[in-house]
Amino acid sequence: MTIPRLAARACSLGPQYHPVMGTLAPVPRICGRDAEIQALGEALGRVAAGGPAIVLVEGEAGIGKTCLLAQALEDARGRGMQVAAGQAEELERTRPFGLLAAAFGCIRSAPDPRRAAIARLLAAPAAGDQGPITVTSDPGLRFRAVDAFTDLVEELALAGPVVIGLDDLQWADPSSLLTLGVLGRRLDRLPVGVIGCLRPSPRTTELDRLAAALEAAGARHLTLRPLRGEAVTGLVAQAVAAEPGPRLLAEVSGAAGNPLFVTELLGALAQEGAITTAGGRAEVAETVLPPTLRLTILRRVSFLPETTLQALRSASILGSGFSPTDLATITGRSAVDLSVMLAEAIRARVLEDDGARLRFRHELIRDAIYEDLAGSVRRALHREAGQRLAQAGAPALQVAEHLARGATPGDPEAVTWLARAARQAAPRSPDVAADLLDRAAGLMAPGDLGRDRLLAERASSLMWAGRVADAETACRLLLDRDLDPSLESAVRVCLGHALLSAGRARDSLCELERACQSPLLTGAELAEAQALRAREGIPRHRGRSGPARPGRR
Amino acid sequence: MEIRIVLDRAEPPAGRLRVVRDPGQAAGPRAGQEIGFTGWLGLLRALYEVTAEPGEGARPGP
Repeated sequence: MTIPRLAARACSLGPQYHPVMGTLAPVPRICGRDAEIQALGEALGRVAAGGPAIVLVEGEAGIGKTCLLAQALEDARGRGMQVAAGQAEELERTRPFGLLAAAFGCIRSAPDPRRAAIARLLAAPAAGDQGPITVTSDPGLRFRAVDAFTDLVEELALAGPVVIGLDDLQWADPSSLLTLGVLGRRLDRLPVGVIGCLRPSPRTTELDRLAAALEAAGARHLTLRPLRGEAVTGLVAQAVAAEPGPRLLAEVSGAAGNPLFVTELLGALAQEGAITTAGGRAEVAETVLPPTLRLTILRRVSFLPETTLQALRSASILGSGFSPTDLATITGRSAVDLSVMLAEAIRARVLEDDGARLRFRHELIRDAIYEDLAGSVRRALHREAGQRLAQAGAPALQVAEHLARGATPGDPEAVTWLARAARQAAPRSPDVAADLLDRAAGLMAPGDLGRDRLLAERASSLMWAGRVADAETACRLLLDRDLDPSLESAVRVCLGHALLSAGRARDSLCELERACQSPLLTGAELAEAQALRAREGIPRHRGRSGPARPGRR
Repeated sequence: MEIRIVLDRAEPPAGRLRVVRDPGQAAGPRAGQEIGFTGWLGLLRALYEVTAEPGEGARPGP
């Protein structure tokens, strides 16, 4: 909607305009998804009969994936099945196994010892920023965690059917996606259902890999299209509790069959008092083409009190779901004050309380509020949030995410926290570590020695993540320039590892020999080089002359 | 009622608006008053403010 048009719309409300904060009733029944509901019901039937079933539900934001998943999980509970449900968060993509840990309730205080054990396994090590990632890190930890989750599912399935429902897979951390892929291959003859929801974009390599793995394991792929006309009519009729008139239907036709858009538009119209019901028919006085979904959402939210909006803006910095404690930390307000400020947002169904956290009713509502902040304001709020969370002792991954989003080039604080978070994540999720190190290096000047050090760590993380070609490229990029000698040997060991993994033993040997000539190689790096050479069948020797050097840098 | 909006930034919008007094009409209670805003939310709320009835308060609410 253009500004003059928006102004005209606001003015057209006239001097009698007395907006009343209220919302339409939640729509009790899903409209226009009979085929998808049937497909999910059939999948649950297969699980109930003792077999596996995998369903991927794909569709644009607001198209109804979450509602469909919620109904399927409710159906599963009704059939007496065990249900594990989780929703990935955009700001938590760097939390290794975060999605699955939340879905299965893996916390240290979990009464189930298996879940508590997984939580302990996932707990951050005390490594902090004590040195670079090398082979002395624990690359096997990631796979122990994968095995722990798959073992848990198998054990649960032996007791009875299990259904795992995961929403917003496009935001899932790579380790959770890896685990789901493994699970998909191990489901054979087990009563386990997996229902995953995802948007067409963004699509990461890991998500594409998972989708391919699950489809190879027999997954059914459902694509949610925009609602057809009769389904939209049914949705509107439920929302306004009356038969919708032609002008009202014309108004919502601009929502292009997106149920969230339809309901947000109806909510905005209802709040403006633009819908009148007479003789069982709901109608609007005039038809105005709806603006974008984002502006429709903002129009509805704009009726909230200013203090509530302020709290929502801060909450949007934390993501789609947030703890009141974190919100209190970043705003400096008491939880009591915030509960008062947010009560109206809950009443207006902008926020929902899921028991553990507050959550924007839809991620697009959060996005609309977040993106309504100027970019410079968003960065400043992220930076302040990161600093306050750090002072409060929040996990490094959470702090780093905010500082990185609030960083400007050369920001040493953000670089430090990103590197710290990467080192914590590396043993469980080297993909995440590589991503964090890439972001840290991106903030540093090209000639900075510290930047090369981070890029060398990144190459190692890529190697341990199994991204051999990427690791080789990263190593060669570093070696192509005038690299500090203290780093060169370590990068050559990594390159040797990558080449060996790619089946190029001769090239690998060449790099390892060169690395072993360096007097600056650390003990750990030398051990790695020798182990790799041993894999190639080369006799184990130090490979260089001269006096013995200290084993550690 | 004529409302003039001056934008310092387009997306999300930021700027100020004011109600312009119509020639030959008595000045309204908010004529000439300038209100700054940032974001679409700020603009919407500024519009509500200048179009609100005298005495009904600046903000719509529950």
